[in-house]
Amino acid sequence: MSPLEERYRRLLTWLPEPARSRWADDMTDTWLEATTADDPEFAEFGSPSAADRLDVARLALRLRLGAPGASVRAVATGRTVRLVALAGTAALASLALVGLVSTAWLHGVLPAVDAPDVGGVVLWGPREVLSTLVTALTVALWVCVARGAPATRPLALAVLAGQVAEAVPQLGGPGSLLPRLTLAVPVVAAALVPAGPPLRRPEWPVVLGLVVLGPWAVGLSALAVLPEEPAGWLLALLDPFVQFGIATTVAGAVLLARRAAARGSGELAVAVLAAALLPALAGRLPSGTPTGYAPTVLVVAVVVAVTAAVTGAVGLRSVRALPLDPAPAPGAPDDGPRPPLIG
Amino acid sequence: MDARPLTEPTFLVLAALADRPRHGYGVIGEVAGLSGGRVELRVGTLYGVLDRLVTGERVELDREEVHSGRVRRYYRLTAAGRRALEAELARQEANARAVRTRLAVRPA
Repeated sequence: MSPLEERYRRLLTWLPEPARSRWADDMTDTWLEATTADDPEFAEFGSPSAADRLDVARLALRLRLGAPGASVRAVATGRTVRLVALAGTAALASLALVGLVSTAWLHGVLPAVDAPDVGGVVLWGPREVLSTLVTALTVALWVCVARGAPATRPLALAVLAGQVAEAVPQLGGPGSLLPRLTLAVPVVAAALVPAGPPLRRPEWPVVLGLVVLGPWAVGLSALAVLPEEPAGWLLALLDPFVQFGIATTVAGAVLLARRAAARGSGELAVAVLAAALLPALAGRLPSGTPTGYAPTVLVVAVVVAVTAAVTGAVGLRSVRALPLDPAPAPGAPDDGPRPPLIG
Repeated sequence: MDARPLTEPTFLVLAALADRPRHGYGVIGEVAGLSGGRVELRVGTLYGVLDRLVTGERVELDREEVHSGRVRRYYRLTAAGRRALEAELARQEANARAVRTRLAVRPA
């Protein structure tokens, strides 16, 4: 084995089993033939290029996230990423929709509703334009994730770039950057989500509609009946991140009540979402808030942290217990074992 | 079977195997030829596609040969692979016909 072959084979260790066993020899033969052209000097001193490394890394990532040909365990990991992307972008879409409606209201473009008197001209500079654009793209991202659209990945990268551009002027203010870490997690998950069919369950619009509209319906109802100076704890409960924290905890409890055989991706997804919420909740803790606000947020943050730990431990144990056998192909004639390579 | 349109790399890999079995490097060369040099498959991309096609029973191993001390595998289309390729071809031809008809109509 030449040093070059050895280096390429080392690169192929990034591939998960069982794909590595199936393809490593063949990939090495093809790659050597495509690159060396029997050049003895290159075979001795050459190395896989950055493009080759990226190529193998992309394949490894796809296989680890449950691409066709991946193991049952990798498919469960991919399902976790998909659930994080779905639920997370649904939550982001709820924030984004309210942001868009508020912007339209401020600028007096909502039909049949007068603009509020803000005592001057409402700013509409580059920062506001960028923010509105990212907000609109976030709503579109949720739709793409739910529909399994091919545009999901480029859209997620565009939203991520927009979030970074929005965050740059805020560098140096950690309090304001913490929620951005939370917002980035579902978007990164959407960028990584493996290709798949759209949600099949006919009730998904209802379920996600409740997730998106529920917290805001509660908030608006509460605003209508709030006293003039509401208590700090009540204001904290109206915070969307606090509400997402409560919803995530409830979802975790419901999932943990299921039978052991059904556990895995759902629990892991809840763990990721709960952990992702912690920076945003920490960003709500600085002093200067009304009495009772910070303690309420702290209690919710602790509960969310416990949820992340428990669901994470249960989910990891369940996923690790899954076999490394290849998962049956979606749409294959039956759910039997994978066809042998030799025909 | 999956009725979604094939991606371009998948379509070209199936097309490269349509006339005879080929090994990995042969497929890369044939795809480059079929696309007029526009599509240069990287090894990882090729084997990602092959993995999906083998899993979907559209491609299977034809034979193994020893070459320069290493085992070289040749792949061939299955009947399902040929049907998928023909269906994709029919879809592309129908699209092309429809667009040609539109292009033939000169705007007033």
